[in-house]
Amino acid sequence: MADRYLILEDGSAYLGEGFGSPAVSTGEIVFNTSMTGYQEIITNQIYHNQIIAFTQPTIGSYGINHDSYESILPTVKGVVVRDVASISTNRQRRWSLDQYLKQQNIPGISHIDTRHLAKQLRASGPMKASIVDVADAHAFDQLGATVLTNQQVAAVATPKPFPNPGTGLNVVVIDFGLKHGILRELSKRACNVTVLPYTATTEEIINLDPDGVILSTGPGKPQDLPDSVLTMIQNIQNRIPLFAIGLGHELFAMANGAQIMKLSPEHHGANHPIREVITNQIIYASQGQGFAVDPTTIDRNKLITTFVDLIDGTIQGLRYRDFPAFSVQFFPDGAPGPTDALDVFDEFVESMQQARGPVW
Amino acid sequence: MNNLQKVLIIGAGHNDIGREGQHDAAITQIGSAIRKLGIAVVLVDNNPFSVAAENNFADKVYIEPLTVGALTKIIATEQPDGLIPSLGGIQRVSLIQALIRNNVLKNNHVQLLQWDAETIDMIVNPALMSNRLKALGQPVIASQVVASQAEADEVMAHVGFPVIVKSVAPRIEASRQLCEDEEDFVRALTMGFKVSATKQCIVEQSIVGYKEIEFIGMRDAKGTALLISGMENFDPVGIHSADSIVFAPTQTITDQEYQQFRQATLEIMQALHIVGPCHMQFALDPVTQQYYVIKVTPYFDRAMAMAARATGYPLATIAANLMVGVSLSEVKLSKRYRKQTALIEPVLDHIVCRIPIWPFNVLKKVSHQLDTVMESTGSVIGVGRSTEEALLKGLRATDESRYHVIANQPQQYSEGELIQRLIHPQAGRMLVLLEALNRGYQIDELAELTKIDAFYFYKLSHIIEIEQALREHPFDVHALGRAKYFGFTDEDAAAAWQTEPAKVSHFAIENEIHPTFKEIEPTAGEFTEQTNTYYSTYEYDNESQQLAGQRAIVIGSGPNRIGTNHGNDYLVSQLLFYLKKADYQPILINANPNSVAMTPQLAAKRYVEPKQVSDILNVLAIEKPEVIFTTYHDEHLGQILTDLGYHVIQIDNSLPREQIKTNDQPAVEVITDGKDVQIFGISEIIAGNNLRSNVRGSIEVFPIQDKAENKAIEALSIEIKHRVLSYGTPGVYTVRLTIIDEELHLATIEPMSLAMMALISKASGSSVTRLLLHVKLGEPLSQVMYDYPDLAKLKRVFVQANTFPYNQLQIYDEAEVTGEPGHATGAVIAYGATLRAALDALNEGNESTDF
Amino acid sequence: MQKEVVDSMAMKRALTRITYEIIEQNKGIRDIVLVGIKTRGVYVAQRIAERLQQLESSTVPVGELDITPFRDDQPLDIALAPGKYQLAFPVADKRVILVDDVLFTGRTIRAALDALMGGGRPQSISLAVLVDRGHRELPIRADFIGKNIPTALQERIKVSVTEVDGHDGIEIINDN
Repeated sequence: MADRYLILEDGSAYLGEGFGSPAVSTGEIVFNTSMTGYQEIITNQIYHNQIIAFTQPTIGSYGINHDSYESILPTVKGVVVRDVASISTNRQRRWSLDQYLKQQNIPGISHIDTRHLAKQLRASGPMKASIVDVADAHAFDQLGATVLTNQQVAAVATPKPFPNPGTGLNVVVIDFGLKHGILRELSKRACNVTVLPYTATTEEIINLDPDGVILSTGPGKPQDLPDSVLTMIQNIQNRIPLFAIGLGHELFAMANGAQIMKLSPEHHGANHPIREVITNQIIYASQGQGFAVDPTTIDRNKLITTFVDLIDGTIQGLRYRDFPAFSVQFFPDGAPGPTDALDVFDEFVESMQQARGPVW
Repeated sequence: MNNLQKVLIIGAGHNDIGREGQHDAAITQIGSAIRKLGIAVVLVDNNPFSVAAENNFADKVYIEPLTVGALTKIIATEQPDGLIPSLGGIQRVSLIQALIRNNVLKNNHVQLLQWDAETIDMIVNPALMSNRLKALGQPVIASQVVASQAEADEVMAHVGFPVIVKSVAPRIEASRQLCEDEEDFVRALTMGFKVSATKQCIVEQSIVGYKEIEFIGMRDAKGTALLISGMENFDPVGIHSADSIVFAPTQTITDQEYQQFRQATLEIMQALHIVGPCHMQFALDPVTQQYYVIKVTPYFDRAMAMAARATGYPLATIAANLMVGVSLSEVKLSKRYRKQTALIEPVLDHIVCRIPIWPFNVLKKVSHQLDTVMESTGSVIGVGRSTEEALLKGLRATDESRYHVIANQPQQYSEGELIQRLIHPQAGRMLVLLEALNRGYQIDELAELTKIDAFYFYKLSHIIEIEQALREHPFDVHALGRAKYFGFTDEDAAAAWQTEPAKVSHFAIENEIHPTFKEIEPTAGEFTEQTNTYYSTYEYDNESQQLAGQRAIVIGSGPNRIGTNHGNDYLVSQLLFYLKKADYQPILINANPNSVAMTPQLAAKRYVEPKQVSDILNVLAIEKPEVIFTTYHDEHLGQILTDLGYHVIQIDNSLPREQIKTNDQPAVEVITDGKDVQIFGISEIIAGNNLRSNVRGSIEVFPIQDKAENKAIEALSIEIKHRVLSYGTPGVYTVRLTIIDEELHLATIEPMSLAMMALISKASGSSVTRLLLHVKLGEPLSQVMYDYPDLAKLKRVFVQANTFPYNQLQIYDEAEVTGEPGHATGAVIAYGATLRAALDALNEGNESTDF
Repeated sequence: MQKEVVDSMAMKRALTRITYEIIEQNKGIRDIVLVGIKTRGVYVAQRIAERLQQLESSTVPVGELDITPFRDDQPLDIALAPGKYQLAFPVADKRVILVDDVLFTGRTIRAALDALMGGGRPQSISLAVLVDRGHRELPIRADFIGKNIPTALQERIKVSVTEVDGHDGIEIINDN
């Protein structure tokens, strides 16, 4: 395999070996400490336009599985690892990671001192980075000149509504760069789902007569989205049970007057203890966040803090005081990651049932 | 907290197969952590090599038999508030069950910490556990308890071969026998009934060939629970996990599978209210993802030791806090760890590979067949940044012949033999797997034959490829760089290039191929954690800097082998302990995950590295120590380092040299600084508890208070002194005497055995290791011996014996079962006002042990 | 025959949701007191109180009510036995939330209302139950419901709480 370089905005360069696509690629580099689930992470749209460095040293050892996608097409800009595994492909595992990244035109680079890289990024925060063939001045100039889009949601969210039929409660999912885990959990609970673009209006949503609305996960900075999204949330939240996740949570907070701040260091992993305030229980959940709700800006007359990260005190969940509208910053569906918080989906379903009244 | 003032810890007793230093290592850490919380610790153990017992990791230590009778008395005297049940292995769990049944805990108001009383019953009786798991909705293997051959046959008629037979409430480490046919079945049942306390066996459906996965969870009394580590056995179900190569983290399982095991682990711990760590074993059908819970182990074992070493998570210290009622969020760790480290689920950015060690070099009759009966005596770990590197470093740490430069040494198997060995694996199978790859077997075919995941065969063939490239490109920078990056050494390259390791080393340095050391810490670089534990690799960034102060490197004892290697680990631990007290910065190099020496309190810094010369030199290049200590296994290594100009102190105290020939063989135990000699006292060897005719084990007695004998020896003291001084180096020695014509004469002189060092330390209350260390460091006896007591005032006789693993290894061959010191896996100690009383105490609880 | 219809996790969620709904409908927890009907209603009330305390960082009083003497289906002499009803605090001008484990015919609640009214005039009384199983014989409905569980008349609902039963859960028991 060919020598390639990972170069960073601060001028550092790492020599490695290319795998996947031979393309030259630029994105914002973040490190993820999850022990399993590289396929889910690579296909999670929150990582649109980003290069992911895995701290787990061996990546690719169980190939690509049909039931581990978190989106149809991955939109990451690169994969950085210590070691990429060779595997046998078979009926269950149609592709190796290397083959898959080739198909998807995503470059990977192995033989990187990912521990050092993680420590570097921990200190610096995310940076622009490129996977290139030659680490010369030209490459650094190109990297410096590259302006990364701030229209990530528009790039990954569905432009058109689509259904995910079920026989149970009627749920509208607003797509900001949806993670499949959300749909999977709703399917398990028999929900009849309609996925709408993030540009959907209050009226379009209400007309579907949903029992509940979900604001999905997604990439990027919430402030980059149009104000119409916040208006929609304000109009919906007091009429229909609402559940927001990830980027959706950040938008829910903004719609209720809170401000969003850059989080440094970011959270990309699944091992932080998170306290559920109401029960004082500690759970673990998958996280992928570069932003957080600024706790000093929360209007306590409106919002209750429901979950807190015990490592740095960041807000991990909010709830409106006056109606069943709530949100979590982490990914309760796991995929990858712990299943401790799965029952947040049950909470949502039960809220919808309660709002509908008894069945007799 | 539970308002505890005093807790009782029951130690593991003598080491044996499956019980290496991991319990003592746990007790040293747990004892000191509990004492820091202001709770007194009482420890009972009869293992002379217990570091916890000797070095004050408890407030009060009882060297007493581990029996219901002895413990009842201790509990009545001490009136502890709580009992910690998890630090003595399965044997102690049965003992605690008996204490509960006899109302000893209730009558003395002793709270059972960590577990419900029912959990104890479930640990002792797997059938109860299985029923409970079933009730929790956890998948378990179809199994049934039987009390006779006829009942067993009835079960067999339903289940069909292959089946597993396990003994109910076994009196030795539970063994699982795989039976393929009627003959196996009858034999396994006969053995199973025999060792069962209830004369019952369990017959269960076999899941041989599934993946074996091990998870370690941690839970506090409030119900907060987290995963410490997931581990994967290289070998499939059917090979005892202690005899299997094990990797941490898991290498080949998907996130869905991983989360399924995590959830099951934590759910089971919640349901059983387990406080502290718990080890779960699962079998995973690689095709359907269906899994079974094989075993729930809430007491300290090798998997927990490995999880602690692999993750750098301070498992024992945190467990100690949880045991006495502190919650995970309240645990206070030293400042070296980030706040809330107890609550962060550990993540790894390195790979750890554990490799078992077999006793075949000593005990020839042990079956080489790998099956459900544990036969390994110990293990080592290799730590690296790739699977290849971790595996190669692990293999190297076993001290076996170098596995990986193999292309020059094709194995002489016929094709049929090779296939047989692939299907019916034997110990040290790595050579067979490599040979098959070399002969061109396809990876998928091998995976099918061996039930080992194809992933590993890709890794093995990559190792072969690297080695090939190395051989084909002598003194090629790229080939060497790549080989080192994946775990090869100067010695390997030298063999491939038919040159000297020193030349390779020189070539590597010239071409800037340098080792880098990385910290083993639990957050994969996300946070700053200082575990002071490092491993080597070949990457960009080096994290280990030379320690400030006077640095002393102690080369660890390596894997636990048959013979008193556990005694060697005791020696190493004590050296670290007393070096620190002597204002040295002790640094340990060791790859044994179960070693007591790995206890974080002992060394200032640890390197988890193999003991090949180039590995050691890499560490020395960073630390540049003032002095290096080697123990008897490493004499050769010590010599090499001396020749290279390092200041090496070789400690040659080892096993007892000889077996008992006649009763009443007196010996004089002495210490010398090279100028002067002082007598510790007189010892004697008498015949042991020899259950079988051929076992000729011996018991060491110290001190002998016979006046006539003392007088006679006094008369010989000038001669003894002369002989000892002529021996040369400062140290501790045994001068053996013989009786010729009813008169005592000097016979031989030899370095004092480790067993005798431990015995004198216990009897005198003065650590012989400390005395040895100081004379070795050049201090005069007059300054060293200040705390050695006047033996005439001692009112107790101490006795000590080696214990043998013949039962556990299922060796019955008379020619093999001899009781040589070199067969021992452990030792027991006892004392009494008279020799008779001491011997009675030694025998108590060990009635069925050969010693 | 018995069947677990609500496990400990679902029970935990039901209590959590009731707690949030109490905050939603009362716009906070000012003047709120919880009154649990013995035996299991008291434990349910205590758990709700703990949750409110976690969220709002202020204590909500929990009272206990033994309504045996007030049941209209009890023989007269028992019904008249005095002194069984006592609360540690006054309910006058408070917003009382009556808490019970199961809502069935409504007779228990009616008796509880009688008992409460005897102790002063609350600002309001609302009702929280862990299970509503239907079959009401009086015009009573709950304001906060953990779970609606449709049942047949001859079935029984058994709510288990760790404090009394060693575990949490709700079972339907059919004695036939």
